[in-house]
Amino acid sequence: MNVKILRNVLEANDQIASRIREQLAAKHITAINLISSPGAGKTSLLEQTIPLLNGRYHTAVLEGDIATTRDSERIEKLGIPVVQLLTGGACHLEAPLVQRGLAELNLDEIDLLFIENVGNIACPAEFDLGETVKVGILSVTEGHDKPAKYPLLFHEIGALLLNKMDLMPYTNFDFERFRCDFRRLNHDAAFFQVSCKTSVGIEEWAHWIEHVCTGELHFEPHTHSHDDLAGIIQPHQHPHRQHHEGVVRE
Amino acid sequence: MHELSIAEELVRAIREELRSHPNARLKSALVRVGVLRLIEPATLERCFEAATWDTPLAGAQLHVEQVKASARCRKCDLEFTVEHHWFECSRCGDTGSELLRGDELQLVSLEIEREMASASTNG
Repeated sequence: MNVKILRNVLEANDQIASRIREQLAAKHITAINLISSPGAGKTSLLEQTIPLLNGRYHTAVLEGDIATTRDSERIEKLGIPVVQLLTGGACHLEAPLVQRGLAELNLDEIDLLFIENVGNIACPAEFDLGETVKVGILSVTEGHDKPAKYPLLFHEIGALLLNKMDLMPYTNFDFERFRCDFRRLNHDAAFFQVSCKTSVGIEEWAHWIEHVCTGELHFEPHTHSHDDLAGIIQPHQHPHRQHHEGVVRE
Repeated sequence: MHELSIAEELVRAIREELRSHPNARLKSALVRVGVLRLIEPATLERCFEAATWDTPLAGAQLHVEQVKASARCRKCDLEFTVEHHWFECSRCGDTGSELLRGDELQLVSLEIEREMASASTNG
């Protein structure tokens, strides 16, 4: 017997992600899902960014790792609430773990949440966490070919930070090739050239976050939900994004 | 290697669907995967085998149907096939486009058979 189903394979995750999105919207919280390879600078970026936003935003961090609390210890020094999410082996965060993390925070006292995903640029792109926007970080030492090699992530993000710009002279990073590959995958994402070492570009990025928080920039969630029973493939909702000054665009 | 994560979600989805078919044994499942998902069909099939091992789904086959990616240019309205994940219009070269298909990840159908012993006790 053949049973017709047609359901989104990631439905269990995506349903919880939708609930998280509703919960965050009800509390007026902006959530940024930070995705990069291990060592690209996610935690360093937070260490640079959060002090710039302190005073204007009540920030909290969900810190995703396979093991250890080393990253959350670094964030704790900033004096903001942080919850360590340990996946115990999984290479990405999933919505149920994020939901458990949110239960540890007082959501009435937060208006900006960073979710630092597990260092990986393949799997995290697949799992909706209920975030406002996904942001990618690529460091110049990883090479200019990463957008072409990991297109899913680079297609999904609302902003990309090219980090470790201070090391650019010591690498063979082909900026033009990178720019061309990235724009073929993602026409609209904001783009920032930064260095967590020298603080270059961090202010522009913090500025962009403020525009996301005020709702001036709007992103449609990539839920990949194709639960239409007639089997008609629905058009993909491409994020509707705008740009403002300070965002480096080509 | 995100195929294993996806295979585990797939097993969860199938087991949920099978709850409305007690006493049924899964013979095969069909999934539809858009090429933009970057899922290697043979790898997903092997991961499915690993994820079902020691579960009631053990031995079931996974069939993967791939869907090509296409997009519509926002500038000149041309519908074009997306090659190599490049959303560049083949007519006007603009990179702003709306994705039409290619990011599917759907469980399409299940082929099941009744377990004879259980079926007879149910009358």
